[in-house]
Amino acid sequence: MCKLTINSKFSEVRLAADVLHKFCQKHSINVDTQGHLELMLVEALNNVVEHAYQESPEGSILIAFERVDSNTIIKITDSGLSAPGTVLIEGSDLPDETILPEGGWGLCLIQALADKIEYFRYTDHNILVLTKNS
Amino acid sequence: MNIKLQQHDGLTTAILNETRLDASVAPEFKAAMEDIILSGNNQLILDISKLSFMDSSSLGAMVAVLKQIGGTGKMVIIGASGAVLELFKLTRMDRIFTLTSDVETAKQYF
Repeated sequence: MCKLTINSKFSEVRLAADVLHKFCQKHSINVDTQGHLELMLVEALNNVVEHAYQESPEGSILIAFERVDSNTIIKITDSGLSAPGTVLIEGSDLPDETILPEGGWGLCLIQALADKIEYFRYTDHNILVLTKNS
Repeated sequence: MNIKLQQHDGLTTAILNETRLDASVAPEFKAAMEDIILSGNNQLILDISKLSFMDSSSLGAMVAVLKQIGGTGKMVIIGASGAVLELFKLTRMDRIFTLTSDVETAKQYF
């Protein structure tokens, strides 16, 4: 398992992506899957920074990468606001491209790329677990 | 934000010399592109062939740039590949942007 903690800043999301790169290289994960994992990770962390911590840089995000059998598991723990309802599990509709949307794709991308999504709410923290067969 | 401009045949090619576009730099990318357009470059080829990663916030910035170009201008994107091209396809924004592989093909759209 590989773990790191970042502050809730978009600039620090990049640090987590760098660690994921090294993790994928260590485990000989192919480039296509690595691209999917990176997009899942970055979109999930952007959501934590933007929505859970409301872009407050004081928040802390714990990230863990793990290989179990043929699966890569990304576990993200934060102490910010919980995601509403079951939106993280069920995803949301892809924005209508004809209205030229400038956002709203994050959850759809996670939903499209992850093989399994689990979300746990606790009293003082939230855990998102993304699994991808690779 | 490192963007190199080339002018030829009334077209401007903006070459994005970055390997990564994400939420930490998307506003800077958007502002730089808007400056380029406001300087009179509204027949634009955007070369993103050096990009190996782009997230949805950066895609949103590209949509804002497309809107800035407006009805009288035109923007063609060249060089999207791998995970970057897949982002356009997964979001169906490949139906909105004109995506081509090289400059010569891009010129045919103007």
